[in-house]
Amino acid sequence: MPEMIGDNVQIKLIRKYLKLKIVENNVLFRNHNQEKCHVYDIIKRTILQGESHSALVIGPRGSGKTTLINSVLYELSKEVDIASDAIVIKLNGLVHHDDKIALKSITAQMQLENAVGDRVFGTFAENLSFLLSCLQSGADRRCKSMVFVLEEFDMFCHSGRTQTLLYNLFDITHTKQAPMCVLGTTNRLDVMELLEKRVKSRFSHRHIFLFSNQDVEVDGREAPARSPLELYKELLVILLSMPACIGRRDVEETPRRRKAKGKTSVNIDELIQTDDSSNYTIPIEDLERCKVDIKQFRLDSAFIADWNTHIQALAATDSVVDSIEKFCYYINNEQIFRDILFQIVSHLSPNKPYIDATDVTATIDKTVAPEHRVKLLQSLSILELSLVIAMKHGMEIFDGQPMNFEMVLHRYTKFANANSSTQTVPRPVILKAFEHLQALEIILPVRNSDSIYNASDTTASRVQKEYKLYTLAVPIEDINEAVKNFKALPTEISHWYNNSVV
Amino acid sequence: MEELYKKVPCRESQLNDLLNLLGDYDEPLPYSLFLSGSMATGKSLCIESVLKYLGYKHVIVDCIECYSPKLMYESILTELGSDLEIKSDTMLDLTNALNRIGNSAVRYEPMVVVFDRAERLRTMDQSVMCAFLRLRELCNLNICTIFITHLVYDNFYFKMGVREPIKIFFPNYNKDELFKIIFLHHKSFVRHVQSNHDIDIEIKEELEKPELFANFLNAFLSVFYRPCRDLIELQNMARVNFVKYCEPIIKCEIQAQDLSKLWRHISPILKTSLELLYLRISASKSSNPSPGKENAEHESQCYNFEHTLKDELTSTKTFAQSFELPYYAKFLLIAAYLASYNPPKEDKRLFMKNHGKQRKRLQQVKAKAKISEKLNTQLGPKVFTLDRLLAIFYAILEEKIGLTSNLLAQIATLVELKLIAGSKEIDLDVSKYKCIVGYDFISAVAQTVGFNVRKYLYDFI
Amino acid sequence: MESTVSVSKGVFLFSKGLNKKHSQKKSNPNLFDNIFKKEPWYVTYKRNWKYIENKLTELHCKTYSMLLNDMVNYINSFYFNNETDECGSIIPSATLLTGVNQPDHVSQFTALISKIRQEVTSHIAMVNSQDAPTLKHLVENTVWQLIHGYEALDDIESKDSQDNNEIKKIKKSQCTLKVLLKWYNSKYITVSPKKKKCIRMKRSLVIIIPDFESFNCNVLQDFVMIISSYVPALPIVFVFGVATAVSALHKSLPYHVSSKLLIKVFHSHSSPVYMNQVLEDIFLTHTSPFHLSGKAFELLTDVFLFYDFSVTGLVQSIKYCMMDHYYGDNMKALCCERENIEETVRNLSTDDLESIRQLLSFRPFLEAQLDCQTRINLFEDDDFFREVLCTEINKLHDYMYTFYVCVRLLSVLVTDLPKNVLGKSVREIYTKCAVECVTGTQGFKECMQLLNFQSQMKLVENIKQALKIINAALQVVSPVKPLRSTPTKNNLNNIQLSNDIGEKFVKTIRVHLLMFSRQIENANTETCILTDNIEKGDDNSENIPGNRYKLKEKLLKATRVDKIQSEFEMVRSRFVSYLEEMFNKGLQPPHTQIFHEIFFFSDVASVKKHIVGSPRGALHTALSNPIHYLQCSCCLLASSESVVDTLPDVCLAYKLHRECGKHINLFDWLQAFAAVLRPEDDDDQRQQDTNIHIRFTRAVAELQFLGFIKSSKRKTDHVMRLTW
Repeated sequence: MPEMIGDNVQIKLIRKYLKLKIVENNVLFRNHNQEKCHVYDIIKRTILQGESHSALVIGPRGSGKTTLINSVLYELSKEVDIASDAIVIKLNGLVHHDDKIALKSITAQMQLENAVGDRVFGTFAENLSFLLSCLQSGADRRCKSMVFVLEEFDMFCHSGRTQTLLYNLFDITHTKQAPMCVLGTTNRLDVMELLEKRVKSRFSHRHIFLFSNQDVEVDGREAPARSPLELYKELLVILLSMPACIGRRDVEETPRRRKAKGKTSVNIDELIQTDDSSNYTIPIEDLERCKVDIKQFRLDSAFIADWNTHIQALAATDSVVDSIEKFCYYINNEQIFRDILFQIVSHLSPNKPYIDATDVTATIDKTVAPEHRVKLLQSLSILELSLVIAMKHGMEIFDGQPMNFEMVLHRYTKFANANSSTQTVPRPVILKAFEHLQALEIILPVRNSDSIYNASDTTASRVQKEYKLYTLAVPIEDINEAVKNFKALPTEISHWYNNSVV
Repeated sequence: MEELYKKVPCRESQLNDLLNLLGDYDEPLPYSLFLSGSMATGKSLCIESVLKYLGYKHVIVDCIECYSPKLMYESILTELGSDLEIKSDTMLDLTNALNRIGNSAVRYEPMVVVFDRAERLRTMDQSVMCAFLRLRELCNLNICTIFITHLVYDNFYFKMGVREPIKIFFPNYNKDELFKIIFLHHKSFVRHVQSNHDIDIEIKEELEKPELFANFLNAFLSVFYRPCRDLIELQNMARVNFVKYCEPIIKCEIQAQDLSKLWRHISPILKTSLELLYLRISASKSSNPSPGKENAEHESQCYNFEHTLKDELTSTKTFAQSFELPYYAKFLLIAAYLASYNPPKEDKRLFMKNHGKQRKRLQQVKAKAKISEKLNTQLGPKVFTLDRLLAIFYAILEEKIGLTSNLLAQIATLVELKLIAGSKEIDLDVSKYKCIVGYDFISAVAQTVGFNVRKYLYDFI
Repeated sequence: MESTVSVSKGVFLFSKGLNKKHSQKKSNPNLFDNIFKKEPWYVTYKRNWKYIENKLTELHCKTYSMLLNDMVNYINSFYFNNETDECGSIIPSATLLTGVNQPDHVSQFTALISKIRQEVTSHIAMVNSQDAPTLKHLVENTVWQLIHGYEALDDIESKDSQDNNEIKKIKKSQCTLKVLLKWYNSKYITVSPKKKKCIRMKRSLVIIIPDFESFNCNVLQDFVMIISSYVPALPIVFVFGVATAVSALHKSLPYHVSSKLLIKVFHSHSSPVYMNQVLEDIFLTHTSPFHLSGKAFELLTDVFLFYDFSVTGLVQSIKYCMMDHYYGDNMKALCCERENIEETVRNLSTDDLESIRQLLSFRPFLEAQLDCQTRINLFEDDDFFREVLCTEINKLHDYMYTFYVCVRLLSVLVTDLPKNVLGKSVREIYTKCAVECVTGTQGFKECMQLLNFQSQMKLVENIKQALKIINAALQVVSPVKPLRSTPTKNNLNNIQLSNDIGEKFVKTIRVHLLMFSRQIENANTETCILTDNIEKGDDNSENIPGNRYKLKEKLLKATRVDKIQSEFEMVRSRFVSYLEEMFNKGLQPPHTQIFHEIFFFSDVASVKKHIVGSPRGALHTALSNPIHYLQCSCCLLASSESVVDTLPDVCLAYKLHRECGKHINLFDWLQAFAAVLRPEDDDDQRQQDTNIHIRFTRAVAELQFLGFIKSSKRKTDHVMRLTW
């Protein structure tokens, strides 16, 4: 019986549910409706009318490009069954940037490994066309339509090597050999410059821009321009509040009901869903993918209700609002916002059943302005810090040209001799400290030798490290910050720091 | 839970964060975490113990060890998926294999991939780290990647942004925490002392008294906390010094209660051993003399070495005297030094008997004097060719000797010894060299052959 | 090859010259033996060299034993007491400071390895720098060696084979530390304590890096980091061989790496000391079958001191001298131990004897013979000559015996004198004595005077030292006899050195020394005051340099005239004069002896160019004076400058190019070249002659190949000279 369940369990369930909702969701998509519709009917027409299209979805990180496409596919799957008369092939630039690999996984996703067997192909084009022909040899001579989703599109157009994959794909769409839709997602606005001419010419220049701060209008009709702040507030509420349905309805009902709804009225109900009960739920597909069974969330509705009210209240708190505003101002990235929420939710526990505003503000501050560098500086030892200071002074004097250890040492010893109170340590120890700074990359060698083993960097043996030139890699402000509130900093050092030129 | 905190002292908040984020077994994991903090702040320890505690399926990858991505992928798979004979050269194979694992699993089980020393990922292809950052998305599993590094996140520049990880920072231990942590190892310290000396019981009890150790630690930290905050280093130095601290007690010279006397005894020792900081010379004397009777005098010699060792390290002068070179090798080295610290156009005047006009030189010196920090001796050596080296060599060497292969061999030897940098091949026109020893080193060498370097150094005339 | 691997290139070159001979002996010994098996000289050579080699090896062990024991103890000390737990990820690393004499390192490390194998563990990996250009190679080599080093040992221990062949499967390419860890666990941790595995649970793994300096720092740093992450699981110990000094470690290991190490420093012998030991204990003894004349000896030691501190190099070159000494010359077979002189003499053929008669040192001996009959016999009668030979050789042995004893005595007495005139070590004194008759030299006289000022106890202990030496020497020859009746006081005044040399001579010296020491000891009692203040006088007068001579006069006067002269001083001056006499007898330089050529190798010039190779010099002689190598009659030159058309083209071109400046105009060069070849016909004819062109081009090409010229960018038709 739901009523029997103790609060602890409920909190745990809520925590889990929310976590799932925050992390796992990739089919629910909000805002940007006309872009969504655009993509939607491109794909739809490809699948149904067998047309060929190509488009690029461009938008900054975390603006939901992938989610957009996923949600579109998800909704399409409700009216046409994609599985039977279309093939969706997803490639990711991070993984498939090599053409061979790409082809391999294409074959895999078309389930044609056995068809290909160990046949050898002269060119990429041959191979691809062979795959297509395999598909065509279906029942009637018309090919299944294909949807290519190329994520990290820019990674496919790697400079240097020829963009064979793109060329072939676009070529097919161009000379409508087979019904195919190529969707690329990228966060680079200059992506067109990366394309080869032949590729560019075959690409239907259809760009779909997602800018999270642009004014969005809920499906064309009434258009209340909404600021990102409100968006995020809404997001906060949506993501954090629990669906009433779980508590209320009988659990077996839920999926069937949603199915029925889906059949009758199309995606619209997703868009202008005012009934929050389903707006707050996680789509069933996600749950299945996560092998999570909806039944386990048996919460009593009262609890859910006052949880939701609690969330509403939280969203209303103006400290929260402020911090969200700050967030929008600095970062304005939904993924990061989700991460923040995740952190907040993860703090929930039986002995801390509610989210209070300070959690939100604290986490947001942590994310917005981490200041790890300052912390790093502050965790240096006095010796190392004074080396940094010496270096800073030196670079001020020789207007920012790099210094080697000898110079830094020279300045430092000058200082050390000036006031006797500092314990003197021998040269090698100082050198070690200096190396420590280098390891922490607070100072960087001039010839940037991040990558070891590259031929140019024989410095290790060629130049004595005393004479290797370094520059200060931390901004002066951070040093100021660090020195200002450094715990138990000897006075002479702060003094030395402040009146710079010794 | 408790023993977890006990295992990882002074890191409660970080532990809590980690525990919360990683959550329960059936909860989804975050995309990726990023733990940063200076060396020896217990990053790896934390994550390892937490993962053990939670009992998730996890793998810890040392990025230095995986010099090729292939190795990394395969090591990940061998840990996560139990099935043998994995070949995985590309990210694709990795994701596929992971997916296979995930699908085979009945539950939505959490997996964690930890990348220790993640800074090395930067030396690989950009896409590797990007991919790992969104690994969960690439293979839809409940998998989380954790990056451990001593760099702050800003040091990981990505050409275009990536999916940001959740960052957790590990600050250094402060003085009290250091005290607490080192104090935990009290037992082992005492054991260490006993391993060096044989002690009778009541003194042993004395040594095991915590307050004695506490006092020692206070004294110790008061000296060492300033130049060093590295826990490991401090622990090491403390171990070395605690032995010294106990010696008078063992010898019954000082009462264990007499703290002020002990303090007076130890403080100079601490001061001196401060000079050995970071140098990692175990000052423990050479282990019990072996049955080699005719080597008795050599034994004593050994001890002298032990004593001279410190100043040998701390001053390059004694470093120079600490090992001898063949006679001509010394001259070659000096010649190399002169060649790399003198401008070539000055050679004529420096090494010919009848050197040119003085007046010009003087104003040059004045010009130099203004920027003392820009002396050649501070800017470092310049490269020189072999024939210049030989020319100077013959110029500064009194007696005439032939250019024998042994002589040329010496150059190679010096290169081998990292006293001169350059190619080992003796090639008449192309090979370039550079002297990589300091001034006081060379002057010490010069002393042994009665040669005045300053006289021939452009900076000093 | 192994010996030259870690060696710097030059020494490699240098040891090549003599590798040639014995390497081919190594390559196919039976053939080489077959050629010379009959030859007596070869037999003796082999026997003697084997003898020397054995001496060397045992000396070697003796010197390193102490050091090695220390290191092994150190390595043992870890991972067996429970220190590991708090060591965390810190690697214990023994740092062995091997001096700069890289050729010798190999022997050191092989010794070390064998020792560790015996006493600590069978898992040892020694990786040289050139085996580990990258981290990959380093790791693979190390792991492979660690695993299969165990293998190698295991075959001897004949372990059960199934785990062996499963180890066999490990290919070098897939050797990572993970593999190592798995292997180690399977071997030690989880294995059921069967056989004696339970006894040697947890063997530690030793990784030896013999030439630290020549490693690529980055690789090494990473390697250390990796290992450090495994130390909690694997008991690994590093051994670094550092040629220069400890700070080299810190030079190439930055903070975050060195903080993973726990360094313990061991000092090996400084090579000069070791060399002295080698020379004194092995070569500068009468037992050594083969001796170097002063010149040759000087040459070798100079090579050692001035160029490379390489003892192996020294030994090799001595070996070379030895080969050169013996090679193809039967009378050198006489150069052998006492006991088998007779039979060697018997085996000598007539012409061998003839060649012996040709020896220079035979001449004075001949003149010494008064009656012409013996002279004739010496020439005619081989058997007679044989006898003479025997006796003389035996004499020579005796002589050498006394000689070396005296050298040692002298060194003992001289070493602690101020501003050592004759040098400190035995070898220095040996060179002095071997070159000329030392007693005649100024230095010797000075030393004697200084001895004349020496204080009492010093003198006594010096004599004690000397006695020790003599006893040692006597024991070599015969068990020392109990003290004969000590000569009575009265025959003090007339000590006669008996004329015989060799053992008896030494014995008499011994007796005399005993006597002197006793006298001096007794002498001190009554006249201590006097001696003291006189010594004071001596001391402060000594401090003022230069006036030693008039001081000497004064003292001589004192010894002669003054009554106040103490007994001690009387004894002392007598002692000194005795010494002079004795040394004068004992230290006759070898080349005064008859048949010294047989024992003393003196042909410096011939070996010099092999031992001290000078490639450029050789090249120059070859090009400027080809006849030196070609031995051809055609190109005989009036002077080294003159040119003949019969010269090889390269030589011609070379000679011509030496007359030019830094830049050489090719056309002019060609003209000159042609002019030499075709003096008779005029320029345009020469122009046509393609033959000349071709020859010229080839010559130039060869010169360029030899590195004398190179084409210059600035002027196309010119070439640059690279030498002058």
